[in-house]
Amino acid sequence: MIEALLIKLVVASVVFGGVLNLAGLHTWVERKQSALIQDRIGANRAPIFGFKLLGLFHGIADAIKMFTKEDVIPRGVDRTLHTLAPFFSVFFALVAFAAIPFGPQLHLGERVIDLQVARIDAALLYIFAMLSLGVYGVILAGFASRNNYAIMGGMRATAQMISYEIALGIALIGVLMVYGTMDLSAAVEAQGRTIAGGWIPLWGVVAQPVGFVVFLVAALAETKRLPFDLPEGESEIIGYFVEYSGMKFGMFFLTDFLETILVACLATTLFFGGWQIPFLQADGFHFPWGTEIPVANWLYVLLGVTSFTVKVLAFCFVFMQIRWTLPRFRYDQLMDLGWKGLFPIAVVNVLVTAGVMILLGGQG
Amino acid sequence: MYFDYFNVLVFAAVGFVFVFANMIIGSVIRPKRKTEQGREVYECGEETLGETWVKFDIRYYTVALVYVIFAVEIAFLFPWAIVLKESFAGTGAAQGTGIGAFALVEGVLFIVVLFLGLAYVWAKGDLDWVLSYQGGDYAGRSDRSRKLPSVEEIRAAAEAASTEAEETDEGGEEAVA
Repeated sequence: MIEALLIKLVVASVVFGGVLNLAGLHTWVERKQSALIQDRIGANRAPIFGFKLLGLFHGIADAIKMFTKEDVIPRGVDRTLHTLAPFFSVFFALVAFAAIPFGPQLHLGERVIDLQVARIDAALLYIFAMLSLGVYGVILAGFASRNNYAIMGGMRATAQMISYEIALGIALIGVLMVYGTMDLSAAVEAQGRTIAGGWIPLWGVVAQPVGFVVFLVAALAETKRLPFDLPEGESEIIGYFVEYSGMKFGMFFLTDFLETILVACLATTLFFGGWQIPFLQADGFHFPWGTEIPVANWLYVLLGVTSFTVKVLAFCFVFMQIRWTLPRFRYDQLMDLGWKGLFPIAVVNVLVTAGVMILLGGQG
Repeated sequence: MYFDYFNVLVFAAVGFVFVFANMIIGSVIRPKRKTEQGREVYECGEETLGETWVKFDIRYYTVALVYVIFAVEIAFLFPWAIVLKESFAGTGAAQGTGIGAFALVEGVLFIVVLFLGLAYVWAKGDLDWVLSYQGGDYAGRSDRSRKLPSVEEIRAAAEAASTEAEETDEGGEEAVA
């Protein structure tokens, strides 16, 4: 029991460290990518002993700056809620990572270790709940600030997030029907199957292409990034955390990146096979043309974790690319897209999926 | 399985400690120079006019209301979606019950009701964000969405206006002649 707990603590620290470092790296990639797209040099001025490493140290400089900035709590705000809001925001985004499986089962001697902090049967529901609870941080920040712009930003953000949560939920129902489980590890294992004589891996994106598109758009809106950054557009629109400074602002900043990574993890897990690699089974590669390469368990796990990480990074990159490519929506366009576009498409997708499952007799 | 739910708690505790530690470290090393000007609400350098905690636009309330309805319906659809495959294949808990078609019809009926709800809200115009008021009443359904004129329309209107102006100019010249 104690041993199992210690192992879980190690896994939890790995997830924790990985996610937070990825968020730090995210800021660097975002700066450099925007610089490349806008034909600038970008962040390259923070040296450590004369080494600049393409501006990789700017994340550290950011952290130091946020720690040492004065924490301004304006006059007349609701002090309790003002302090709690960034906590809520970052806490729920962080805790959601507990249910993401990032690798296959590792065999260490007698012991079998799930590379997932918690293999719970309602994992998808849990992540969905944590994603929804993130709304509280946003609305509380806007409400507690006692700033007219902040409360308007908070209302905008809340309306946007709950609108797209509907489309997100229904897009996920289509996926649930295909896998027949909410356990994300089981869902990833189900994506190891192949169709068309073993040539095409049956990933979620193959089984649910429409669901994937709806999920991606709705999830992007949930993270409040461009082209859905109406709650808080860095240089143009005053948002819900205008009255925050120092580390509390840093918390909101971190939440932004954590949510992006979370959505990338979810998209990978549900639609791009999680840690699966095409043609790789637990005992080795089985290519459709008959070649077989046996693979040891440790190598299988290593390949799986690498595959998962690469896919997540690719999704993060796509999200940032979208950010610097598309212009922002107008608010009525945003609402129309959520309620009149994605929602009906997702519902029809569920019906079509049910029909196809009948034709396949529950085998698909 | 229940041990795994305990793991969630452990993870949450680690997360809580992380967030809390960040705030504590920050409060130890950051400067505290509170001045009266520094504690003013930022708001783009302007002082806040009027009360902030006021009644806000009804449209946010409508969106929240519609959200609650559909979110509850989705919560009911989740378990249905999970067991649907088993009920078709007649495996697992659905072994020998022959419940497949029944489960499908039930679910589809539920989704159709959900869709009717959406159609109703849509037709009522509660999904339109841009509302316009005429006098004390809501504007009619067709006038609710603000329609921006297309470029062609603007151009045609400008041309019409300029030809009109020319005609009047010519008329003026004739009168002089």
